[in-house]
Order: sequence, then structure tokens, then C-alpha cells
Amino acid sequence: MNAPLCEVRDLTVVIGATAVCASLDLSICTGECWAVLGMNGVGKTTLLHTLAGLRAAQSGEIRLGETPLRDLSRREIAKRLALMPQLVEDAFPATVFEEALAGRNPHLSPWAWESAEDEQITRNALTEVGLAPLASRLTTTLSGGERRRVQLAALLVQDAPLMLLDEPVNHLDLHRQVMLLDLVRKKISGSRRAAVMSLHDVNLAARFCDHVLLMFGTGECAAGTAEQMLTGEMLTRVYCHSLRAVDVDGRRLFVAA
Amino acid sequence: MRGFRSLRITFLRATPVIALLVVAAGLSVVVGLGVGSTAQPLWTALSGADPAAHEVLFSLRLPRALAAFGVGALLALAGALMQALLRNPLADPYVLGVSGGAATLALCAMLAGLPIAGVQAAAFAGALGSTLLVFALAHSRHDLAPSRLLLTGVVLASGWGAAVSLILSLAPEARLRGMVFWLLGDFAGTETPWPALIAAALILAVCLFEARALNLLARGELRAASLGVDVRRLRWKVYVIASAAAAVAVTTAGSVGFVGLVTPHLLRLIGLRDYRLLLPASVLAGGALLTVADALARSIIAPQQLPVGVITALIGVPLFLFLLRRETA
Repeated sequence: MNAPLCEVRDLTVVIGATAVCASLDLSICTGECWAVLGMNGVGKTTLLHTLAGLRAAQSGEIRLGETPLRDLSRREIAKRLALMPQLVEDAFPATVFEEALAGRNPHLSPWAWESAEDEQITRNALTEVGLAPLASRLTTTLSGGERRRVQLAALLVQDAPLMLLDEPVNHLDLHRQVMLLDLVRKKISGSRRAAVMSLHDVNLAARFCDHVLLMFGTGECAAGTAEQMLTGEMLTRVYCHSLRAVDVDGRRLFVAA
Repeated sequence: MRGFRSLRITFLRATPVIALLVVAAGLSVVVGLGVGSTAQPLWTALSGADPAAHEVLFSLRLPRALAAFGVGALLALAGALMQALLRNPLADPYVLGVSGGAATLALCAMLAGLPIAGVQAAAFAGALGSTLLVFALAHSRHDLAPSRLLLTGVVLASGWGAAVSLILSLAPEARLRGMVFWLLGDFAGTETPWPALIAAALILAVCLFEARALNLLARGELRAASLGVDVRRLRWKVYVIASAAAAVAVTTAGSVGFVGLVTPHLLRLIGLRDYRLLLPASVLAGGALLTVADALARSIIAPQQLPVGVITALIGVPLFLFLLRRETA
């Protein structure tokens, strides 16, 4: 049994008139890769933001390791979990390198400048996401998919054990989706890390995630291993549309009926 | 790897820029001392051979040049801070109605025939009063949303504009000239440079501590928060500090336009994007720009003086447009 990075007990989150989750219990342990699946508007982003401590829950408790989330400062939280947001504004221009380097912020004291080591970490991360040649480009000149990869580099640079990714493969070409999720898996396997990501594509979840959280839109959620959760029956309930499992070359794929 | 331009290199490259700005700041004060409505060589005045010239230099020109430097520094700092707070590169120090509130009360004081000290007190009260009003109207559940803050400030500013027009249309001829000068920004009434200089130094020191957090805030609140910044606390701090800077500036010299908007912008265009460099550079560049502008205002059609706000716009607009075109080309 791996150590839990994040424990959620009896969590209730409501946004406006929508119940995101009611009395949710969840344990995210090192080495696990979680997918969050649900229809548009069920509150996947809201739930990830709540887990990241960016908004308050109605009731319940979130613990990072031994410590309740609400007892931690923003800086301490940022050392333990990193969020790749769904949307990133850029009112002011910054280079790809500067954008990724910003991920070091929680590790630096207020007066400190980034060290040569911080810069090396950033260079490595940019190389991993395949953006090394674009390091000195302004992010405003990048395509949507390239920007997603900059955000992933920043997430890697932040180097937090728990990685929360909100729609990480939006705007990405198919081969880049696979590359990005492969990279996330590689970061998790055999390490102290874990990842939770909201996804639209059930088949990507089936291919890359070992655990799944299903959100039914009524506040009811179901969490478990991918084998338990990813069945035609369960997914039909999630999307209110009939989904069928088919086997292709030994891999289970889901198609909408 | 040639593709990488590390921050260290950026920093090393910025050092000459900062050094250049220090020199420019020093030169601007020398120009401010040497130029005026009475032409006299700087060295005869400095040597003390001519007591009258010595007097003009140290009790008139020096305080005025230093006040212009302090106000320019404050406006540039306030502009840089407001731009990060509102995540809008076009925000200026007056965007939250600071100058409108100050102008309305200052003109009322002029209409009532109060002395300069009274006008300054009214301006300070108006600046802070307007800031508080914007805050009271814009905040919700102990939080400040940038978009709401911006809109409230803009709408309130146009309200103050109407009040100013009303006062101008009612004012007797004899007072109009003084009022127009105040509205455009003018150092004729400035008695001491110390409030502006001390405020600029204090605010720079406080803000440098938050400079890296400001970099993140400018890139979005969600991003700043997820990278370990206490966004709510930082927003409050920036709001209070930027308003105080603008209020001191407006009280010292009236509403001098353009310096606060354009200085941080110019510095970004020459590559100083990091707030750790942008803030000290803003102090130097804003101070130098306004000191030179004030020297020109005093000398272009000497012995008559122009409002300094006209000069800042005349220098700033073409310079800014030139850099902007070069950037996009």
C-alpha cells in the first residue's frame, strides 16, 4: 500500500445551484493516476480547484499527507501540489522560458533570484515537452497546443508530488496528447508522485489512468479502479448517452451508440 | 544550446540598462538645475560667486527638480502596480478615480479662494476619498475583482470629469488659469520635495519584496495562487500602496498625465518585463522623464511657464508610438 498524498473525507462542494459532489471520500496515493470524468458543467474544474485549496468547500476535509489543507499557507500548498489550469491569460508578454521558470516560485524565498539550478530544471522540463527550441519565443506567438505544453513544463518545474491537470490535452494534436500523457505517467511511475486529471476522452482515461472518479452531475460521484469504473453501464450513466465497450487488439475502447 | 536565454542573462543584460537609467536620472536633475526662466551658467551659481543665482539654484530649482523626480517616480510605480493589479497594460495611476476626486476637491478649494496648502489638503482628501468610494462600490464579500474595480473606477472618473467641467464653467475668469494648470499638472505651487521623495523610496522598498509575486499576479490570479501567492492579501496591499502613491503625486503636482501609463510600458518594450527590474527602473525612468519635462516647461517659452502635463504628453506620445511600431515590425 502506497502512502496517501491527498485524502478527502465527506467533502461537499456546491457551486450556485449545482451540487458538484456530496459526501465524497477519496484517497489519492503515490503512483496513482486518476481521471475525472463527467459531462460539461458537472464541476470537474471546480472540484480540482477545491482540491488545490483555491476555493472553499461547503463541508468536509481535505488532507495533504498528515496536514489539513486549510492549515497550510499558499506557499506550502504549492510545494505539495501543482495545478495546470484549463485557461491561462496572458495580458503581459513573457517568454516560454520565463513562463516555465515561474513554476519555481514556491521554492524561492521572496528576495531570491532563480539560481542556475532552477534554470537547469526549467531547461530539462522544456526539453521533455519538446519546446526547447522555442524557449526564447513570447508565449503570445505560440499556438494553443504549444501553450498547453508550456503549462505542462511549468507544472513539471514546480515539482510537486500531487499534480492536478485540468483538461491537459485540450488543443493538442493526437500524437501530442499521447506524448503528454505518456510523460505524466512516466513522472508518476515508481515515484513519490500522483496525478489527477480531468479528461473529455474516455479512451485516453482507459489507456493512461489506473483510477477513475466519475461525476454524475447530481452531486453523486463514484471512485475506484479503472476496471471497476470504466464499464459501458457506468459511463452510460455519466454521459446520459449509451456507450458500448469494444475490444480492439486487446484494448478496451468505448464508442458512443 | 542557443535557443535558451536564461533569466541570469536577462539580468546581466538589464544591468547596463539600469546603470544607464541611473545616469539619466542624475543628468535629468542637473538639467533641472541648469534650466529656468533666468539664464545663468550652472557653475557660477554653484560657486556662490553670485549670491542671487546661488539662492535661485538652492531654494527654487533644486526643490522643484527633486519634487518633479519624486512625483515622476511615484506615478511610474503606481502605474506599474495598477497594471499588475488589474492585469491590464493600459491601466494608469488614475484608473481608480484618484485624479478625478483630487481635481474636484482641489478646484472647489480654488473656487473658495483657499491658499496653496488648502488646495493641497483638499486634493489629498479627494484622492483618498475617491479611492475609498471606488473600493466601497466595487468590493464584494471582502474581495476585489479586477474587472469590477476597473469599471467602477472608469465610471466614477467620468463622473468626476463632469463635476470638474461644472466647476470650470462656473469659475470666475481670474481663477480659470490656475485651475487649468492644476488639471494639467504643474509644479509652480510645490514647496517641498520631501513627501514625494520619501513616499517613492518607501513604496519601492515595500514593493520590491513582492516583486516576484507581482510577476505572477500579472499572469493571472489563478496561476499566481496555484504557484504559492496569497492573492487576496497581495491585491489588498497593491491596491492600498498604488492609491497612496497616486494620492501623494496628485497632491504634490496636480494630475500630471501620461508618465504613469507610459513609463512601465516603455521599460517593458526595452525588455524589462520582470517586476524585480521593472519597479526600480520605473522609479528612475519616471523620475527622469518628469524632471526633464518640468525643465522644458519652465524654459521653452521663458519667462512664461507651461503646464508640465502638456510636455509629458508631447514627449511621451511620439516616443511610445515609435517603440510600439518597432516592437511589432
